[in-house]
Amino acid sequence: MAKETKKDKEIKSLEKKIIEISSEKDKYLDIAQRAQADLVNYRKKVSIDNKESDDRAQRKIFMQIINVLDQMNMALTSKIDNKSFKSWIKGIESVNSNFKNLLSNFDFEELNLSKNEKFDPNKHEAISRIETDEFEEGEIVRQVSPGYKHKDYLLRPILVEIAFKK
Amino acid sequence: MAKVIGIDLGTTNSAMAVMESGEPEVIENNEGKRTTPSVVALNTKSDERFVGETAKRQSITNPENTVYSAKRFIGRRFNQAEMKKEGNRVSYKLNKRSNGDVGIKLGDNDHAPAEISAMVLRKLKEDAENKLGEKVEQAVITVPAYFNDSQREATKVAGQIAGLEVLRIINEPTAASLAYGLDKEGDRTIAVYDLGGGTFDITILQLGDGVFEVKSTNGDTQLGGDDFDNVIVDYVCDDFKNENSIDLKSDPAALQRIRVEAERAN
Repeated sequence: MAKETKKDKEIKSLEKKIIEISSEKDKYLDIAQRAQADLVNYRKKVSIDNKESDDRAQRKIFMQIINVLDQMNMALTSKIDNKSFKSWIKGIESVNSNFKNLLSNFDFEELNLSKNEKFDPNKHEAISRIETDEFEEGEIVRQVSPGYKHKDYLLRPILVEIAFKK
Repeated sequence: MAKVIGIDLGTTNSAMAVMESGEPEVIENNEGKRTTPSVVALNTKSDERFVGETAKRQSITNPENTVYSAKRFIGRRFNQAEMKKEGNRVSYKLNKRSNGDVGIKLGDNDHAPAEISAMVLRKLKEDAENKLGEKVEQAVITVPAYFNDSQREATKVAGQIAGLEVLRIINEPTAASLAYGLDKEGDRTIAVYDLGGGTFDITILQLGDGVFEVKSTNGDTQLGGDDFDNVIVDYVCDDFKNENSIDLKSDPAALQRIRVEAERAN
């Protein structure tokens, strides 16, 4: 049998190293694949949790909306005559105010124009133009609908009409 | 590794997305919306510039300096036959730039359409950075399959002006096919319909070895979701007028509510 040369020894050692590195590569590949699978599963779980959390939040809000709806139904089914009309209107106003309280309980804020407010597209939306000499071109003529804000998020800008001159 | 965003630079609205653990995820803008109007406006009195939602909100008050649909003019020559027609459809002014391309007048300045698109892209970039909490410097931008070389180049330039390194310009139908994973389902021929806000396209793609080849593309450049909204609004107003003899079109608040509901119904 031929004697093992220095080169043969080196080859053997390199082959051993290749096997070691390959097994190490497989180990890390396995870890990476598991981590990727864990991440995908985690994302799915987060998505399910978010959906559940949305549902819970909606239930909480709708429970309170239902109460206001009950009051509205009571008002609509009550018999009204000339005598009771004024108190009926008061009842409707009270439902309206309950609704506004409900919005504010959930951090919704109604936005209305203040006096001499200048048009600012960050909080106003111009929905039409009115030809007039009473206002300067580009000035707000009137508020059409209030805006709404939830915390820092503008849900709807204040809808306004803008003056223009021919 | 810095994140690369994918941008759909649309005629009417634009959107952006990022890959999150192998899945594309749409990034919301600073206003919390998944799409941003491709609109730029200049208040000539205050010199303030608005991009996206805010530009759209003030468009009625400032039609001459509110630029929308800039994509229709990107990389186009002023003397091209259809440019006159397109120019008549917009409320802002077009002019001929010294190199013969279409220019857009905004305030006292003439802009290349790519510069207007760049303003939209910059907003998308900044909003993405806010949302992701890190700098975004690279992007992939989609363009219609029918865009020629100069339109593609102008789109790339728009990205560069916005401070983005544009890694690739991808055909919109190709991007849609990739999002649906159609490249992994073997060789086939597919039709991609793209119903946008202002345009409606169809493209026939042939897939082979992971490469998408555009076999044919066509569409209607003047038909989109906005037209659907308008038809619904007209239908509701006409119906209401017939039944109640009241013209809701003369009541801006009512018209606005109908428009919002028409958009939702689509």
